[in-house]
Amino acid sequence: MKLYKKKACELSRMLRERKISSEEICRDILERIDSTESSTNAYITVCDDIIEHAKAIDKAVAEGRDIHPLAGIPIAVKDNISTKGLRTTCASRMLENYVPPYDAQVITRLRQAGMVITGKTNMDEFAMGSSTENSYFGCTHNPYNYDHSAGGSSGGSAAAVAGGEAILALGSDTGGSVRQPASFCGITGLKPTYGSVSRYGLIAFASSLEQVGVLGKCAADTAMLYSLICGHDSKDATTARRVYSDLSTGSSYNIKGMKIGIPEEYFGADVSEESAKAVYESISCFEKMGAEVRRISLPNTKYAVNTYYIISSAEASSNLARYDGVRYGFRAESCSSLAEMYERTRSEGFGSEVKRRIMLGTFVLSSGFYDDYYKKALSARNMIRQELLDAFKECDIIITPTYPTPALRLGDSAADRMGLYNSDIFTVPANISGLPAMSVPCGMSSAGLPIGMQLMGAPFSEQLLFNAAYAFECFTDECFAGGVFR
Amino acid sequence: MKTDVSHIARLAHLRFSEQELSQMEKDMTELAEMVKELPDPQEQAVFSEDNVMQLREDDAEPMSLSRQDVLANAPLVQSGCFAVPKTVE
Repeated sequence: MKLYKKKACELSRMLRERKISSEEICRDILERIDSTESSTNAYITVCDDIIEHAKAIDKAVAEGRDIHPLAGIPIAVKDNISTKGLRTTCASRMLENYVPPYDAQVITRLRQAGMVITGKTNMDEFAMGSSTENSYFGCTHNPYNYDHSAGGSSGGSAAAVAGGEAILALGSDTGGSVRQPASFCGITGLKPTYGSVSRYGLIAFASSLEQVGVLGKCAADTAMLYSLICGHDSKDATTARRVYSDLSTGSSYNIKGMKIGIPEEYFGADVSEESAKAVYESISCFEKMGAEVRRISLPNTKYAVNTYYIISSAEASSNLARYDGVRYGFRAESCSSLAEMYERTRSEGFGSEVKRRIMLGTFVLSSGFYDDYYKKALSARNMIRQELLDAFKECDIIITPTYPTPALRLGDSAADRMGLYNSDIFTVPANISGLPAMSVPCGMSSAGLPIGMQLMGAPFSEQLLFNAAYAFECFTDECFAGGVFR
Repeated sequence: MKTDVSHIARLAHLRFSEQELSQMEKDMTELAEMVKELPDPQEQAVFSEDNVMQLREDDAEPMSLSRQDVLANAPLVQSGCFAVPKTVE
């Protein structure tokens, strides 16, 4: 069997038992990239030193040195996470040739563990989008059906894991950008609790909403990677000062008595019949395992999309003000004044969706509109968060569809931008509230496209989410996990 | 309420064609509709003491990036500085 089809937890065990080498794993991955990349376009940059790093791990194993459980495992990294010496573009003309002089904190942790970075994956420009069609480097195609989107904005990362071009991947999630691509590509994707993973080196879009997220073929793989990257970082003051358990040592699959909330607002008319059916059938699996399911109501959900777009655009307009052609990135040519340089650099360097969101954000923060727009959204944010925190006094986890439908056909979303924004309704509440949420594959559509369910929890309850996901995989004999190789 | 999109574009240091500006105006109007659907502001939530962000001590640390590192991505460098079009006559 080709090693690119296997999960990280299996490869880790085989590596440490010396049944295979990291070099063998990485050569299989490279072969898969060679044969598949022209169809998926999952990567913007593929590293040229993969085998060299793999050999270093094999040498350590041969010398009997202790290695981290994830050492030697190939991982793809979304191209908005800074990697020292390796081009980091945010899928934008603005950073087309930008090479960071430092590693993001999460990258430092990957390197310390001996993981092998395969390359930088495609995304929507500056993480603004839900289909990886807003990329300067072309769109990413879903490994299940190349006519369909891999989702966004972490579409490249999801497609790479699902299609065997990486074993694990990092993404980022500001409004659903790890969970929705995971759902479209039939893999597991976690957005951690806000503050549990350092954002140092994550190129900023909306600083109060985003987190680096993890993507893997199953719950155990995702847990291993999350355990590696979570933790306090003195370079990111928004990281929580707490001690984290190592979730990679195995989740409990006994979820008897777990209280599961099903919010009626997430199962309305917008959800496709197949998606709703797959999620309801999965919920009945949890009931059969002894969980206690209860219907709840979250009426403030109706404000979530509007709140998200106002706040995220406002933060984006501030965060993207740094792209001015002065110190790094694209600079427009033949500018006769500084003002012209700023304007033409930004107008030529950014794509249309990015410019739209900067304009919206500038507008809501501008004098005369700040109180009516931005402050109103902040207040709605508090209401949405409090309602969810109150729900978690009665429930351990909440289960919803991740997205109203399976993967969209490429090209369809351009015609209905507001429809695309509104479809984020199930994922944005977790970002607004800073809560952990995970997409777990739970079904297939009649057209052969994956369907994902979202598990959401109280702050720092990732262990419960992994328990539930792992229990579901065991109960269903992993018939939905594993990407295209399930 | 008509939004002065030209003013917003100047604030954002972006330039658009007339057609693009006209589309932006439609987008701002859509946004205004979004905001109308939000409830009136409530009292701000009070955050608990143990949820407050803790800043590190204000101690200077050795430079982690050399001048060369910092200038490596610059579009134009002169005399070890970032060079831009003249700002004063």
